Amino acid sequence: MPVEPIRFPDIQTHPAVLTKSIDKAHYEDTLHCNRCGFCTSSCPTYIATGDEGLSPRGRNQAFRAVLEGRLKDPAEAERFFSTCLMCGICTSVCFSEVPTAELMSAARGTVMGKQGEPWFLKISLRFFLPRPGLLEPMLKILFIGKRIGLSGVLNRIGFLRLISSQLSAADEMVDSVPVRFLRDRVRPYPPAARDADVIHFLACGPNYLKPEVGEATARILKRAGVRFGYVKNVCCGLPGTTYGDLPAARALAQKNIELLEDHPNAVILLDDSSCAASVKDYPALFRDQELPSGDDWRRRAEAVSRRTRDLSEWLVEKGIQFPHLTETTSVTYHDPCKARYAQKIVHPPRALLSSLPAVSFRELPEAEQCCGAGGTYCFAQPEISRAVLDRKAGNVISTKTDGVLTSSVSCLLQLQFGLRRLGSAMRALHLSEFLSPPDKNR
Amino acid sequence: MNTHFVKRLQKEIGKGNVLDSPASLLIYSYDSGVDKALPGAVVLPQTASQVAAVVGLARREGIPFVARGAGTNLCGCTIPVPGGLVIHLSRMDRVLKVDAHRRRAVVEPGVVNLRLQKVLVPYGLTYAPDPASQKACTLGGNAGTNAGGPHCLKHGITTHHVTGCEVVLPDGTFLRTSIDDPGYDLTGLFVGAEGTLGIITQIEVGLLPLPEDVRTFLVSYPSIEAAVQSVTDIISSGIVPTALELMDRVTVEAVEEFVHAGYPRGVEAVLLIEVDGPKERIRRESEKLRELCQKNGGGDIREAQNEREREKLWEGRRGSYPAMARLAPNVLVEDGVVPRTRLPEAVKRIRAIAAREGIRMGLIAHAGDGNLHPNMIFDERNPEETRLVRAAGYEMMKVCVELGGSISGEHGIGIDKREAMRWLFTPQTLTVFRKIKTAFDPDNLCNPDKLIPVAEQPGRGLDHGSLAVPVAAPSQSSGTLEAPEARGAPSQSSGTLEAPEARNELPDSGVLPIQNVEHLQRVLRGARAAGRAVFLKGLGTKGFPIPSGALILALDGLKSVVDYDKENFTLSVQCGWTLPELGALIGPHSQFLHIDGGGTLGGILSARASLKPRLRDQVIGMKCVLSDGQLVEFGAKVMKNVAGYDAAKLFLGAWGSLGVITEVTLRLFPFPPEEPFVKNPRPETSRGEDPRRAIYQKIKNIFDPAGIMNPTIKWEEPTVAR
Ligand SMILES: Cc1cc2nc3c(=O)[nH]c(=O)nc-3n(C[C@H](O)[C@H](O)[C@H](O)COP(=O)(O)OP(=O)(O)OC[C@H]3O[C@@H](n4cnc5c(N)ncnc54)[C@H](O)[C@@H]3O)c2cc1C
Ligand code: SF4
Ligand code: SF4
Repeated sequence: MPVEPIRFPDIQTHPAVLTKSIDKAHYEDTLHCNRCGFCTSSCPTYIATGDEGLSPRGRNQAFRAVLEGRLKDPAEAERFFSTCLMCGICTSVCFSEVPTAELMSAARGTVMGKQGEPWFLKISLRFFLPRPGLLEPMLKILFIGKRIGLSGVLNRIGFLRLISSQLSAADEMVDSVPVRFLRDRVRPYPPAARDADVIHFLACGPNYLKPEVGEATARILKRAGVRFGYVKNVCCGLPGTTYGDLPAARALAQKNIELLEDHPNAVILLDDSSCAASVKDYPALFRDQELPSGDDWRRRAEAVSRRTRDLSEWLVEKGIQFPHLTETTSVTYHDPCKARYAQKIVHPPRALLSSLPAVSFRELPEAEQCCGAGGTYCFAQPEISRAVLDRKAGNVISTKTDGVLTSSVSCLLQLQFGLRRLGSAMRALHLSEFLSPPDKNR
Repeated sequence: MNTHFVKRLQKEIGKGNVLDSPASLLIYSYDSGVDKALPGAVVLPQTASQVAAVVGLARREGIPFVARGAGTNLCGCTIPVPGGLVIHLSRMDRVLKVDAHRRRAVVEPGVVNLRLQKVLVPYGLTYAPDPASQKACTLGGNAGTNAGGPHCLKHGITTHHVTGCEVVLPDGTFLRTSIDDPGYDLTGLFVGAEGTLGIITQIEVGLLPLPEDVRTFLVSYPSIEAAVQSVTDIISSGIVPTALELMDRVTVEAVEEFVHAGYPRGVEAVLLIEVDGPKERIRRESEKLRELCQKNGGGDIREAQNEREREKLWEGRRGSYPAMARLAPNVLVEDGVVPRTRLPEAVKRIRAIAAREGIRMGLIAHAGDGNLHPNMIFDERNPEETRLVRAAGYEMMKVCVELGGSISGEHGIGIDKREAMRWLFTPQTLTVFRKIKTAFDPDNLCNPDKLIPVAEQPGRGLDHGSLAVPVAAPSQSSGTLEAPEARGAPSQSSGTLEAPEARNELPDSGVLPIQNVEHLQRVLRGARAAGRAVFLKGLGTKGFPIPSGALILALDGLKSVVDYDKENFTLSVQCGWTLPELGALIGPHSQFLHIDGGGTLGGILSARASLKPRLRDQVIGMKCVLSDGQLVEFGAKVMKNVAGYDAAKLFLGAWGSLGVITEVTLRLFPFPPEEPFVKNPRPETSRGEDPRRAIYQKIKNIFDPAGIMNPTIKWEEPTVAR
């Protein structure tokens, strides 16, 4: 006879301050962490700092203490919660499958409800992200400043640092910026027909920071001969989830769900693994029982989630061929955590790359580790992010390949930055760019 | 904790390496075990000298401190004294050297076990101890608990592989040790000391070549008894598998539910068996294995066909604790060990205890060496249930002791089991342990309250509702240790203890044949009363200048066989036997000792006659008579035992300077020695300025405060030209 699980005692009877059902659900999750410590040495922030508080076990115990009212000032634990990369490695090694990343998102909400996120994130989350019309000009002003070298000057006189150390970190990382966003560039491509096969969801990274990635994806789609098109999607909501602003994330998700429902049969294709994971995870945003018409939204989110594919996954599923890739090269591959852990995509990119006759694929040492980008983490926690990155870049260089590929723009920028930091000439490319390089004759 | 101390810590090792916020302290109040207590501050040193500085400071301020690795131990080894200092070594995580030629590596204590394994792969080498927690646990912690692992059956546990270390002693000074040193085996003493004798800052480990071939089998059985009989038959057949892991039905169900490792459901027991070595031998052994398993009703024999399948089978085994952990907020993992042949009985009685208390439990065992882990699930928020589970755990340990085993095969004692030490050791032996602790740590600041039972258990558990830091005066615990004995010169020893009539028995000179242990005890009491130096025949006569008036004891009359357990491959004998005599005893059963040397067994051990194969890896238990006539016992009749300090090792190569070895329990082998013997050049002395000498003297004082046992060996100057 298998052992019956112990029924977790009714939380009501516990001297905790839990009133909302969603908090209770999170509390249940923290209880499943039995402090075995199995996860600690896999966590990138623990590896980088050696601080138990910055390990998954520490984070879960701290959140539990907050929920049980054992930590007089919950803000004390803010550092543990805000430094989590949300990479999900811990859950993959945890036999109790404690969803630490999810819990940390909730913890940020609980604690930072009073505290507030870094100011520029707050503004963008609430104000700019839902309004591409405003976001784009603002980013453009910043980026043009970068182009003409203004930001460099500002940085040198410490101006940016004065406003926000995070913004200056962002400035250091992004070495070149586009003048035309993807939405402008792909304008020749049509808005999606109602019966399109594929919606190419414009994720913020490929749209704002690396439009050449989105362009490459569009070329792949065109060459493959699928009927594809675009909708006027907004940000997927990931920054909101990450920083514990679930209402903001929910509002963005609802907008996108409504748009995508206009094309009920199309595959929703994303060339950024972070956003792909975020869209696939829309149902979790509506897990809270107390939300108005939460059930209805959860069902709609599930339908969208089922149709969503990350690029490598879709390419392998459809058996797309790349006969034009004839130049001999060697590459390694960095898994975005949002692909490897959130979506459990490990095999497809490797299968794809190994199947290309001209390409020799070499596995990356410590491939399971995060690169430290974590979406906007690299701006918010520059120090830890860089410690994690240096280790990753060192591993990339050790493969002695021509370049490293990945499938998230956030990881891509981070890898490029990391290689630059270590003075390496190795290239980092998005999978799309590698599979469909720009046509030189055009 | 006083802010003054925290400030000084910050000044000493940098602000970024000191944590003292309430949230951080809460996070360092636990390990993987059940107990909790809030520290007053946490430091994360980056270098050995920072460790020394912190320890020095703590000592001056009288603040108790504890070393922490990954905090995955299961017995509260790293729970601080409330308000004390946690020294977390995670930032000292460099692999300093891999010497492929000598097959040794030097690492810092914070290196994670699995990471070392990965570093070694390109060299074609491996580090044998592989605790199931190897993904997380550190080499420092492994040394602290003397960790074992599923693969330890063939290659041994941590103490067999740590060949030296650098230690910051509780007084803040450095000590370097090596098992190759002459003198007392300090390395063996630090391993398994649970951080109570000092903080290890560097570890040198021995490495093994990766095996040519590995084969892994999973076999199901209709009963635990049938599985254990298979294990016994396999070992008796001369095959030494690297692993022989037993899992019961409850565990298999829990694992399959979750890991989907392909384990058979609905069977009473499964065995996971692995053999490694040269291809041809492994092929032969595999055939034999199948046959032996089938003979005992083993069915459904699955062999892993490739590395992935092998990994999957192991994932099932490694998942056994966590799979239970999924079922409840907490799991209590007990860790008892019995002579292998007693396993079925132990299982039966342990199950009866769990059934009686209504406790849900899965059982796994490193069956090859009789080490079993009942995994009991509970919820720590329910105090009654917690108490019940802990009490049941204690009762289970008692069963193991009653069956001739021990209370810990690999996890350690910590605070969880220190009271149970009383069942295993006599008051005399516990006194020796206390004296060892006091000799190294007179202020009782270095991980106090662990390993040794305290006279009166001070309240230690953390009250879940409160965050207030209880102020713990370190003296609270130091008062419970026994006052150290006077460590005087021989002349100072008082005559009150000694029997005067024994003094009259002693001859003025020449050799005194010892008739039995009681006689020996009497003689030593008399010698001590008379202040006469004592040498052991076969030792003293060879290398040491013997002062006039010294007493020479002949021990070749001590010749009983205390216990010869053929099935279990152990032999307990008195030390007057010679090797040819023992050979005649065990040879007919195709069993072998991997020991070489002339004269009596006691002489061979005392002189550490051969360096290879290592004697220290073959002695699993020992009885000794000390110069005050007290009989002390270390170890047990089991292959794995990490309860208490490994004091038996100190007697190997001590040249009779600590006491008289009267009885040993030796590990037997189903095959003759494979490597040639390497003789020990003797007698051993250390030369020049050697900081170890002060420590050697302290150890000598623990066992022989009167200084009468082989007093000419002082580890000070070469007494004999080589
Ligand atoms: C899931 C799971 C499976 C496990 N499986 C096994 C197993 O198969 N076999 C096994 O033996 N154990 C096992 N354990 C127990 C545990 O992993 C081991 O005891 C391990 O050796 C502890 O290592 P650590 O780095 O976590 O040390 P810690 O728990 O941090 O410390 C352990 C002890 O060592 C001392 N210590 C730490 N560093 C030093 C140092 N530098 N110098 C001196 N002392 C030091 C500490 O003070 C403490 O007393 C398991 C635990 C878990 C949770
Ligand atoms: S999160 Fe999982 S692996 Fe980590 S300590 Fe908790 S139970 Fe163990
Ligand atoms: S999600 Fe990543 S960074 Fe966060 S605790 Fe888990 S392993 Fe660490």
